[in-house]
Amino acid sequence: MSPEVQAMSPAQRMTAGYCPECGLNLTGINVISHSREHWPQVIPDRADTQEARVRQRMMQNYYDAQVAAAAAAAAQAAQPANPTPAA
Amino acid sequence: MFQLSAYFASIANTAADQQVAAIADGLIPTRDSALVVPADMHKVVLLHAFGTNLTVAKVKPASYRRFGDYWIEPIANAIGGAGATTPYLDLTDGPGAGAPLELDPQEELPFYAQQNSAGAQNAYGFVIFADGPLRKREGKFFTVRATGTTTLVANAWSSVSLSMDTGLPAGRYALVGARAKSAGLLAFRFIIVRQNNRPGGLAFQGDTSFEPTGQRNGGWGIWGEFDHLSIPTLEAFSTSADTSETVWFDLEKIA
Repeated sequence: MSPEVQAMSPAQRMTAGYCPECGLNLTGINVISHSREHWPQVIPDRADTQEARVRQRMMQNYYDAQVAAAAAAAAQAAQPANPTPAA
Repeated sequence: MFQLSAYFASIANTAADQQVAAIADGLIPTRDSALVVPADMHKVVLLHAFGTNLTVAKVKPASYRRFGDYWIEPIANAIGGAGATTPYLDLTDGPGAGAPLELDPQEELPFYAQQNSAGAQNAYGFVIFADGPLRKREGKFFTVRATGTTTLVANAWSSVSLSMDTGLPAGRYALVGARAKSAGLLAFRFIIVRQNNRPGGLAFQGDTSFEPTGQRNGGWGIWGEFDHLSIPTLEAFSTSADTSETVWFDLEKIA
């Protein structure tokens, strides 16, 4: 992990596209799959695991935003560039 | 019988030795910022020093003072990555290793370091105390994985409750080696029920680095024994507040 990424908070890392846990650049990575490398699907609900659950939720939200952005881009691509006005 | 203990301090950039303070251990007393050598484990079998710009690492036990400082070489400026081992001084008496460092029981073991970064920087030291050379054990071993999701306290020992991927069959097990990983992990040890030492080793931050020779599969003998309902608790020492920890236990079923 670069010193710059190491100096970021977990939330800052996520916003910048890095894993909040290990600082891996998530470009081209399946975010949910990578999340599973760190945490089980269901993290035990205890006080000492709260931060783990927060970071896992960050990854899920990041993935959801990626999917939504990809869907929007696909919908945009399906639209004709200059639709002919109806007669 | 062996135990891993730690030192940590942020030290300034000067060309003079600076003491790296012993971490409160729970079992081994500290005095004058040094660990007090346990009477029943007064031999040192492994020394490890880490700092990004570390240049010098030493221990200065009183019993060696007339011979000068005891230099720790090699030192580590990074945790071993793909296909690499984190540098450490091996005194386990195993193949290719030196003989243990013989200390006086109950003397202080202070740790010193120097570094050459632009400003202050963290320095880490780890020592394994033992009652003698670590003798290899042979047997029918197997490896199981366990995980934890506790938030670690950076630069201190943190206890982590582990969950086995699959439960162990009822019975009694000997721990004969281990590997541990988290994002900033440097070292680890185990709290084992009814055992008054905390055996451990050097840790990893990825899946592709090698552990010290002997740390796995019986190389350092038996670390401890436990039953299937009393899985050892991990104590982790990390540079960061990690929230996911993975341990691979090398075990032998003994009863």
